[in-house]
Amino acid sequence: MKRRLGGDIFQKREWVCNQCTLYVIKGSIDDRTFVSSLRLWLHLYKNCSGGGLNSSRLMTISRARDVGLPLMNIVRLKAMSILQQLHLEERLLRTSSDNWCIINDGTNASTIVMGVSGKPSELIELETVVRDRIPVIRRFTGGGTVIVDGGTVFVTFICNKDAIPGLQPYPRPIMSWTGQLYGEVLQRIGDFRLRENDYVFGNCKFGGNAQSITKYRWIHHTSFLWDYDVRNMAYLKQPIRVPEYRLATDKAGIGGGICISA
Amino acid sequence: MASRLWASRAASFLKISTFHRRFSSVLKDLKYADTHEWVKADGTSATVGITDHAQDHLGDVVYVELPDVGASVTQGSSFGAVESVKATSDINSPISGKVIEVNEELSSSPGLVNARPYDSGWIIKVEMSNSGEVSSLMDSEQYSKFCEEEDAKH
Repeated sequence: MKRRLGGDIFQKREWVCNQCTLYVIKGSIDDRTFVSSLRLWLHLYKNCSGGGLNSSRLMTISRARDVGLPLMNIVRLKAMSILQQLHLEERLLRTSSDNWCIINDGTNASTIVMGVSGKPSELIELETVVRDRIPVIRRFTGGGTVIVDGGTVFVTFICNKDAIPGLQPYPRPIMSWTGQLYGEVLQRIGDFRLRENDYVFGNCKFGGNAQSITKYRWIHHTSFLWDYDVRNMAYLKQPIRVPEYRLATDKAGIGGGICISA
Repeated sequence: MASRLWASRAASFLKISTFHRRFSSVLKDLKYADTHEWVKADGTSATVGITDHAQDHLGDVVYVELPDVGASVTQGSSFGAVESVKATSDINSPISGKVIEVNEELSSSPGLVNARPYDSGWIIKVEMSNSGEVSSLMDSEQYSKFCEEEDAKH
């Protein structure tokens, strides 16, 4: 069912339970007016199967308003192009005053994504990347290089600086906060933790993360290698700066991937 | 430094967030913005950098995005960024004017921002369009108090 909302077209999509509705954006997301007219509902995940985040972190709009807490808008996407996702994120960071959580389940094509200061000659195997026509994107956040595909789960938080009580808007506190949040979900799978700026299960890197901090807001985005094609890792070079815990791992452990099945 | 590194690793193993409680240095003859940049005025020109408090909280700087010489800067608005610990952080200008020089050394040695934030780690020099803006900034005492209050909130 399609219905107009604020002048833009959204496709209603059944959410994980029959008690709430999530409007999923389909089609062009370039229209700035779309952002201002977007309406999403938060729902307590406690009674929903398939919810990915701890329910205690989410509140209904009415309850949140009652206690004066900021809302977190959730945008759930499926196989959106990572370039489009990054465009959306930067637009929300710089032009919105709301808090957002974006979840993209996979991207539509294998793509290399570099941090803002990444040098292609140092980070990627240029010859094979050009030969195989693998897209390469430079994102606006810091951090290293990843190769993402349909098996990657992307989670992004875009927040006002005062959105999280007691959280200092600097890289390490933000990483610590997100690490604890993800830990609540992923501890049931294995020994998940934040280790030297990487999300790991034991010694295996499960996800990279990167941030950008502006005057009033911050963004933290993560690419979880929920599944990946090991052949894709051959497109990446070993980074010059390697965390100590990875210095002793073999090549399969370096550059990403999980060591146990999720 | 070594004990702080050990404490940080222990905290990470135990999954505890660490908090910075060292006292950052400030210089008396500088003026400071609430976004943690400093400015040293010299007639109609000024030198700008980020403070010791900022570099300490950001972590090791690995890249500095510099503006072009000739670019305009506006008080309170971003003119560049530093990258550290997987994050880019905007640098906001404490004064308005035109960029007359950038610190090219930072391209090869971004760590100068950490090691010497108040001298060789300077970031841009500006020909000020309104030198009166400097008086709206905090002095060293006000800035020290500001940092203490900010850290105490978290």
